[in-house]
Amino acid sequence: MFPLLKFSESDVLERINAATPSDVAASVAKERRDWFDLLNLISPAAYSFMPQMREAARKARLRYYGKTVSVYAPLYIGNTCVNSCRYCDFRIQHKGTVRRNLTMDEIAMEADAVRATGIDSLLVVAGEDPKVNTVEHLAEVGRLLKRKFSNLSLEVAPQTEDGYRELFRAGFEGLTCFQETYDPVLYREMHPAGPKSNYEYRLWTQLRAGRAGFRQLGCAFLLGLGPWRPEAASLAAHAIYLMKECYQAKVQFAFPRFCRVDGGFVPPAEVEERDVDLMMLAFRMCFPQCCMTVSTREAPKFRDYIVQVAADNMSAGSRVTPGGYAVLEKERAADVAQFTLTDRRRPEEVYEAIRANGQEVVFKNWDNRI
Amino acid sequence: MKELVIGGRRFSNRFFLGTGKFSSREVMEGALAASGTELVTAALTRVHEGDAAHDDILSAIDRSKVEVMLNTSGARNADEAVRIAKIGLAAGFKWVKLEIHPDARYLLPDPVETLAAVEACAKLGMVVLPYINADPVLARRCEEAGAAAVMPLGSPIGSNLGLRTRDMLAIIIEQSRVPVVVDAGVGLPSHAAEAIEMGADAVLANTAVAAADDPVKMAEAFRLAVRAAELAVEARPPAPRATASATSPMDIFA
Repeated sequence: MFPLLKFSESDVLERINAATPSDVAASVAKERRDWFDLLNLISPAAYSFMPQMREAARKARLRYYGKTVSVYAPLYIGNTCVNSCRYCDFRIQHKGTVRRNLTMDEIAMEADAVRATGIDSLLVVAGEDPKVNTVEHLAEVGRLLKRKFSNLSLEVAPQTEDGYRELFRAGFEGLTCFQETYDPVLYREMHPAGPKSNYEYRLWTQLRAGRAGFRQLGCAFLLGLGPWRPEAASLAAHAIYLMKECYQAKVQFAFPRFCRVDGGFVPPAEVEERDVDLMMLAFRMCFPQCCMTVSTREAPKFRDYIVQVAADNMSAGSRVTPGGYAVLEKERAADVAQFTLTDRRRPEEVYEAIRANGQEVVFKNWDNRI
Repeated sequence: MKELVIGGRRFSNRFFLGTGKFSSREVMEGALAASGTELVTAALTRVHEGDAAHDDILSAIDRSKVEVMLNTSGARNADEAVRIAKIGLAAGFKWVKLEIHPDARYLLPDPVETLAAVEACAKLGMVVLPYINADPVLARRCEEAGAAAVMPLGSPIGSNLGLRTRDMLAIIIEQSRVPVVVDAGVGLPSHAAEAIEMGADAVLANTAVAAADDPVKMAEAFRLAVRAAELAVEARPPAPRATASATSPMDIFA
């Protein structure tokens, strides 16, 4: 569990499982919902309230985000990695992955290919390789990409607060760092070696970035590793903590569901689509102002639905391969991906689907000159 | 009502509209037309102000009839807000709505940073309208610092809660020497009418219109409500009193 919580995992599970239909109904009816409401809304008793929850979430989403959906794309700049995450195809032991770190020219080429699709918000992603992805290198990448995009975010190995300060100055406004699991025992099991094996250092990543000035702090656990209900309770507690400590930043939720990987890892606690749906509705109801993104790992039908009721942000035309947009030839691209994509639509198809549901696609929601 | 003049420009319509949260350019255009508004706000972070002809939002606005006021939404301090204002000014947008709300949760304006930004933007010769909490003293300070109008909130942005700050708004309206534009939280045409009836010079809404099922119809409803309230103020309603007063007095005895 999130370590500052005063409840143990069994306390939390007991509360969740004890939630009655009238508890759920009371949480649905509230104007302001708290962490205890979230427990009710992710409980087994909440399934039969999903239509009412959908309506409450839709209203909350409409109030804060209107009839718009922001779009972004990830840009993988490298996939060398010194970690040993048991579930990831980028891990050091996985020999099936072709390793590549893009040069600055290649990064520019990739960026131009993404920009040509209309995308104006970019998430820069890299494996954890301290020799390659130094703060200096990442800052150089930031300065290059800031000239091309309105908004830049970062999903790389956790950095120090000073490191984040430099990266913020270089142009990165947002940060994403998945905790993977809030259970420290399971965390150790899943991350047996490498710098990522340090649970605590990873856990306080968003806090360091928030203190360094980052505007958006992305939090998530990997759906499939630990039982999702206590993980969701921890995620909510983590968010509440960050909102208190870094009130000038916005928390962003993601709900990445474990995808099939080349390495053949079988997730110990698989999560069904219905549960992702329930969880996203519950988080939108309890955190109406927070950003929420829906992963490319989900099916097109689900993504098109969930951006109408809960998520405000989605990726379009993602390639999870360094060089995947322009540098690599298509046939090689599949060799080095981090995970398998479920939504393989072209960006224009995603935009069309958003518009067909009566929503506007927002490309620009920040400005690189500020 | 006294003619509304802000920054040297006369306005015959007291309803101002924001451009965010609409489902499409077409719906926004329809709402702008139905509202009859002569002043709209747009977030600089959403538009390409340097290429207005190709921007989805800016190209939908006839700037010969409608004033465009860029807002600094997203700024967390005076420095960022002034930077945004300068970017707009360089592209020919002289009007700026200062929105500095570092608190991502309730989007409440930072009074300290806002006052500093008013001073800086007024020195640049801009027409400055600060979005502020309903704080009468702050409103006076903004006025002294060069604000062309003040924009106190009725309740938090997007909340549609109406004029929860009513008593403080009344003091601001009483004291202000610049126009008072009630902004934020205006969720219904009746809220807008209430503000005008109280003596506010204008009202600004966005979410209430853009997030309605039928934004065009809602924009028209706001236009009509604001106009109705304006007429009511001009008609000078009788003061309320605690006792009944028969509408057809029967004075039959000497």
